[in-house]
Amino acid sequence: MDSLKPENRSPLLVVNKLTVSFGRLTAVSDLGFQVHSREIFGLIGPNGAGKTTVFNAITGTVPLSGGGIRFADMDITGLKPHQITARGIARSHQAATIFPETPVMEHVMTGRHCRTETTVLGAFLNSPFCRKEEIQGQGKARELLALANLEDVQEQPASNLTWAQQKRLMVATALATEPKLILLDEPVAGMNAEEIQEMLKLIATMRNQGITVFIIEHNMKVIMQICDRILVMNYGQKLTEGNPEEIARNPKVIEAYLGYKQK
Amino acid sequence: MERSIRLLIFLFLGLVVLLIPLLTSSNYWIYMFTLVGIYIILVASLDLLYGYTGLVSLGHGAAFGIGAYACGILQVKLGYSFLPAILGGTLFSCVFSAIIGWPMLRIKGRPYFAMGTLAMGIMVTIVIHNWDSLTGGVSLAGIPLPPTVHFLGWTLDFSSKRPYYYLVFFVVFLSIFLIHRLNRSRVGRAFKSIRENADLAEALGVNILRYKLISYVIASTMAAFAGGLYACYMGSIEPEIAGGHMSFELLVMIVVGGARTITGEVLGPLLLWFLPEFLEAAQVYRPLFYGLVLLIVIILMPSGIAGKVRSLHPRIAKWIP
Repeated sequence: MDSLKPENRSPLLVVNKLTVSFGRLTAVSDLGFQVHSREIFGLIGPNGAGKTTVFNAITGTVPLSGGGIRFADMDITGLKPHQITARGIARSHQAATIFPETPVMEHVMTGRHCRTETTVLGAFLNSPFCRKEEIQGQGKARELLALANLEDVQEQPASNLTWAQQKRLMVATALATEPKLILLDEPVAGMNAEEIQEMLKLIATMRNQGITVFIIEHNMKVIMQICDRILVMNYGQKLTEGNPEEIARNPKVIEAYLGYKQK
Repeated sequence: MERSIRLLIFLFLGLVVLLIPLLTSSNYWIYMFTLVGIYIILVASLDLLYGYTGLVSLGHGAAFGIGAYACGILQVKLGYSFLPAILGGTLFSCVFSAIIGWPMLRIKGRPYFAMGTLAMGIMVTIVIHNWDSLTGGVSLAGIPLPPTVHFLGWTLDFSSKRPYYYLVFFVVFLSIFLIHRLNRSRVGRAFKSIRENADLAEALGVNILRYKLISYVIASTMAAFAGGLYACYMGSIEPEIAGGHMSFELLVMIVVGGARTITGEVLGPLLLWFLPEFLEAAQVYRPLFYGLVLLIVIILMPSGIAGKVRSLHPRIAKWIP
């Protein structure tokens, strides 16, 4: 059992002294933490604490003002988003970030871009390699659609889907990139109880497949239920870090969320 | 099912194209349809860029003009024959577009590309106009037709209009076929993803700059080949074919016809080039006709005529490729 304890796992993602500034505003300052292989790691904090900015920094969509990020023992600081995806970090967004006109099946296939190699010439000639890759891709996409319970809508354009379906589509598309680490930005926001259960099932499947999950979520029940460890941020800095019980008891966390205790 | 419908439509269109020359003895009609074919190649290649990748080019005529002039110059000034000239001209335009496209596409945001291509169209026209010794200035004349070909007992004499018509429509079908294959592939999905949500595309591992450039280079190369066909057919060419007016017309054609549909790529030139030729008495009103059609389409059917018809019913959409 010892090998399953977080301390004994190797760090997959190492964030060191991360600082992100927008002009004079410092969104994240001097933040350091590690995400271990195969764990579910939560990131919480009040609105404006800089959580999404941390995700943006990891995926390379905002430039760092300081610090560095290592992933799977490689320095990924300053890499472009598409290069970071190719190394094995995927992400689903908070708002519906989809290809609105693309049918669901093709939507997931698009996620396989960085794991496929068909070139312009191959496509022109419809080469055996291109056909093989296409059939493989369709097979993988179908698996993911089944996993995300989107089989019934696979012909529909993404914008026709319900909010919860769109969120699952984003996750399925992110999974199509075959990530080692997936960043989920508020995956259950705006969902009803049933839809939340469906998403949690999806997250559990990812974990069983050996994917490390890094999750931002405001729904405390969900966070406390699924996370192995939690990082709490406030005003762009680390407030504390620990397992769910420690976090729930921590007075600093209660203070950040509820304000000062009356004396 | 959908595949066989598509095949059926293609066979039907192929038949129509084959039959047109048999139904008319007038060279005028053959001439007109040949030019329609060249326009279809241009509009289809622009559709790849504008419709699929979502890049608004205001200088697609420049690629056409460069291809036409390169092919013409290679023959008239350097003495090459038809095939090396048209292939050389196309290759030149391919390399040129890759070099010029890179800095234009590096800057994110569409207006910059549109402005860059607009400026390029103007510059290309000016250079052609003024580099008399190479381009002939106001017009480059004396571009020969392809030589007569003997093939398996057939004789293709291009000095009669029909063989050239068939040559052009062979290229039309080939271009549309290749664009169609590309768009169904991994590469095409990358193009579409850039148009629909560039940030998400990047997050999924699509190298945006690279795929924009690929799209631009392919579109320019096809346009340049059409330019070569045009130059040899007309015998003489003017700098205006590379100009803003031409580029603007092409863009209007694809918007009106319907982006991302083969029907739109064919309908645009038929409606906006072929049809207005009959308003001969009213040539002065041509810009008015253009403006009016564009206005009506944009207000009533933002996805173009083909897009509008497709959206009526999924069953209809199947028959409108």
